[in-house]
Amino acid sequence: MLNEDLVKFFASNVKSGSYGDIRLNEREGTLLVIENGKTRRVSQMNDSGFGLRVMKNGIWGFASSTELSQKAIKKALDSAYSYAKSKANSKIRFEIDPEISNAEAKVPWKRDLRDIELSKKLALVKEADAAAKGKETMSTMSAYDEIISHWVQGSSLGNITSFYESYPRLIVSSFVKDSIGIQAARKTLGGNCGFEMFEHDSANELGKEVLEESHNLIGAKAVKGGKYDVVLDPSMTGVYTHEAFGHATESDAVLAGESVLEGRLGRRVGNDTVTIIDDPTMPGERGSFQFDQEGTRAKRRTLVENGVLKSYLTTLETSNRLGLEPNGAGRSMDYSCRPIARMSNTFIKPGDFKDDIYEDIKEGVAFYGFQYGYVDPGSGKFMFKSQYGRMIRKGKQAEFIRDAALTGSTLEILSRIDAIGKNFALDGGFCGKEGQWVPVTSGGPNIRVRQVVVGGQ
Amino acid sequence: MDSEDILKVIRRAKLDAELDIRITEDRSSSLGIERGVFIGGQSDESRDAVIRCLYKKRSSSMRLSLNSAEDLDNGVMKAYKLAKVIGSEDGQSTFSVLKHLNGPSPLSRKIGLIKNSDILSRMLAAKKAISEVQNIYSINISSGYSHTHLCAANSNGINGDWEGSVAFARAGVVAKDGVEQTTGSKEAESLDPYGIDFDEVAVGAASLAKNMLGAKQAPTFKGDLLLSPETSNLLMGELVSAMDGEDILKNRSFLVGKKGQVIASTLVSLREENLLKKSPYNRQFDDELIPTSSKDLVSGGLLQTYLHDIYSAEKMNEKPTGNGFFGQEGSSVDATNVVLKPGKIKTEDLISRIKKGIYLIETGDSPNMSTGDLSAMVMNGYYIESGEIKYPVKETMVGVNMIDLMKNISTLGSEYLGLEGVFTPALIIGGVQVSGK
Repeated sequence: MLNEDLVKFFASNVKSGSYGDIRLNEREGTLLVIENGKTRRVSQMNDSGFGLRVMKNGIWGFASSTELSQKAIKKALDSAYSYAKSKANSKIRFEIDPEISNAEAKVPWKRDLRDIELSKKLALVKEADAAAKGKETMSTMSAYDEIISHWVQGSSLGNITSFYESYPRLIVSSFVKDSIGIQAARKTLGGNCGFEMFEHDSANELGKEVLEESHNLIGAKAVKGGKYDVVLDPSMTGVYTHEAFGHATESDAVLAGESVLEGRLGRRVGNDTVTIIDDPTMPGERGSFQFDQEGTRAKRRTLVENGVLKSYLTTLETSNRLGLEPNGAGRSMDYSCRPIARMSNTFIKPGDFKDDIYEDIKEGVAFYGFQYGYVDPGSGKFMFKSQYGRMIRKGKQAEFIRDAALTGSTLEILSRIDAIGKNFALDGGFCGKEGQWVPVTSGGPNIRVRQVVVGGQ
Repeated sequence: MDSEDILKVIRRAKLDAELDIRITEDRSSSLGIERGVFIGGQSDESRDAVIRCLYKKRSSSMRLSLNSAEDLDNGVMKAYKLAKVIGSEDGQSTFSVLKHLNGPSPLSRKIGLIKNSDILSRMLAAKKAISEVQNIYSINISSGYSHTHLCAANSNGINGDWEGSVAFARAGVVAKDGVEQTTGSKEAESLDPYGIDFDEVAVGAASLAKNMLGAKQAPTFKGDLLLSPETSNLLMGELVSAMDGEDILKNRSFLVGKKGQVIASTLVSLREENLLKKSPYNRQFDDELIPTSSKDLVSGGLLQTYLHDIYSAEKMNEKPTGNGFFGQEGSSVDATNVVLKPGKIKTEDLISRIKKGIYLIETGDSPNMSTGDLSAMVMNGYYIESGEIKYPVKETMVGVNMIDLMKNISTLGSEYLGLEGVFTPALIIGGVQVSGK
């Protein structure tokens, strides 16, 4: 159990004239992997430790340890101060002046994962795995993983916040073989929630969806590379929003001179149908939280409103340096990582496009499901890959294609969106930055984007 | 704690099950410069254990951080109960029984002798070396080092101790011209920070960022691809991942059925070297206490071996190859050092041999491991025509299957890079699809 006394001990040892904060973190995890109906891996994790930081004259010192004791905190403080008192005085000056809150957040679950027997979790993943197997299936691989993370954190200003995160996730993969090679389909279901996520036959449904998708890929060829009009499904719209745009709104990148959106607040960055939201307060989503790891209460952020850049994602430090309000985007992967500006649940708001979104595309590509993506916020170059695609010919969806990927530039891409559908869905995953992987979701409606570079063979 | 202490824990447990325990102690430190100004540093200490248990051929694993002496004993009991109640029925049948050598430490300098002030001075000097370069807008540099002590033992009485260190320096530079903004990054590794040339890292990143200004979309065509040492490093690492015995066994790799077959040009000599001079990645035993070894991976164009941990070796009726290393989700396959033998041709001469192609300096993409298909964005790169660099490119992708990529390697360069235990030269590949205008 995490002890608030350690937070108070830390606060009492922060030297006057400096700011300090500490995060105590305890995590429990389970991983169950099923391959072709057989249990392949059973593993658990118990992890705990603390990370603390101090700031003096604009220089941060951070230290972490797996040892939760006063002795280890004292040692870590000394180590952190050895950086913060460096002779290389920083020219950067800022104040840390958070809204003080002493709060214990509500638990994010209805059914605590720790109350569910392992055998029930195993049965769940076996059910999904069985549903993903069909006549043409070569093999299946499915997994259930969960992490329950408890945070107690506070600062030298006297505030203490305590909250839980609970991330159950079901992942189902199905593999088929054709003359081209092996094709894989994969889907996930998860949130920051409890085991209630898996009620209502969700495992079976997920497995069936994966089975159908894998069979659609039999005989699917790679797209011929070139420029196309494209239609993105909600999952791909989400990653488009997250990768192509969201990362460049992270304020630490802005301050480091590594974002193409630096100096563009209040300026037009897309056409006026585009509104982009980052909202950690959505109940139960994978990117949701009540407090960030700096103790700031989570807020809904409008990043782009009708094509105009409205906000960056800020932390206590970056908000002060940019003259903005902290908006609760300071997230840490675990105790050993310092809080940095991150997204949560990021999406394009649905529009009102009523017509057939494919209708006026002579030859294009429809993208489905997110595989992976990345961006260089400094240059704005991004790339992401879908699970699969379908060619669009004469306004209709045609044959399936595999390994469809697209690329572009942050500052050009939002203005190429010319149709935003009315539907809406979110898709969960992890986002990596500076070695830290945090749970996020992204999504939106179907969107149509003109003249995008599509990669192929 | 050392591996003899772990043997005592195993004996003390007196369980009717096999145990395999690995403890890792890490100490690391890093420093950061943002826009040319020192912004802070970080120190981390951790002590973690991975306990694997085999109870009547049912396996489990437990990962935990060690706070007190009792934690390890408690973790052993948790792993035991987990194996007994719900253990995997598709695990390995035993742990290592092979004796191995405990290697001398590759540490070139004890961590206590490294002064952060020295590293910071070098970082600031490197920043200064490029701060006057025209068009340079921001300079961000980070550097750090870590020291790892690893000890492991199993209930077959096999044990081992290892310690090592690795240091890195990374520079990210943004160049600006009007509204156009480009980036360049460069990274280097060594046994300790004193072995890193910080100026070279910073100058490399700055040159790249500056040279990317004026980028245009390349045409769509089929032509040659010149891989920088960085991108060949990335792709050779992926090729080695595709040799994972378990993925071969389960038909999840594009190298299924390719052992002994031609998968590359005859120019390719790819080897694992477990003890390479000055490499931070030298090991004499893997995370399963199996001896590591130097061996051919690809020679004469033929795939010579798959890489096994104990599990995949047992299932494929082959011997473990000493490539069982633990990832976050249990045992997986990796190599110590992978070396692609370089050629003798300088990069500018490689460029002069290309009629029409792309010089791919940086990408973040990796191939589809099932099919080997690769669609890669040119993060940084140039369009080449008639043996000359014509312009930097943007919004351009290259597409090729990994087997075709390996088979179509026509020339190996002399420029060479080692990162994360993969040592590769620049090289030319023919017949690659470029998607742009």
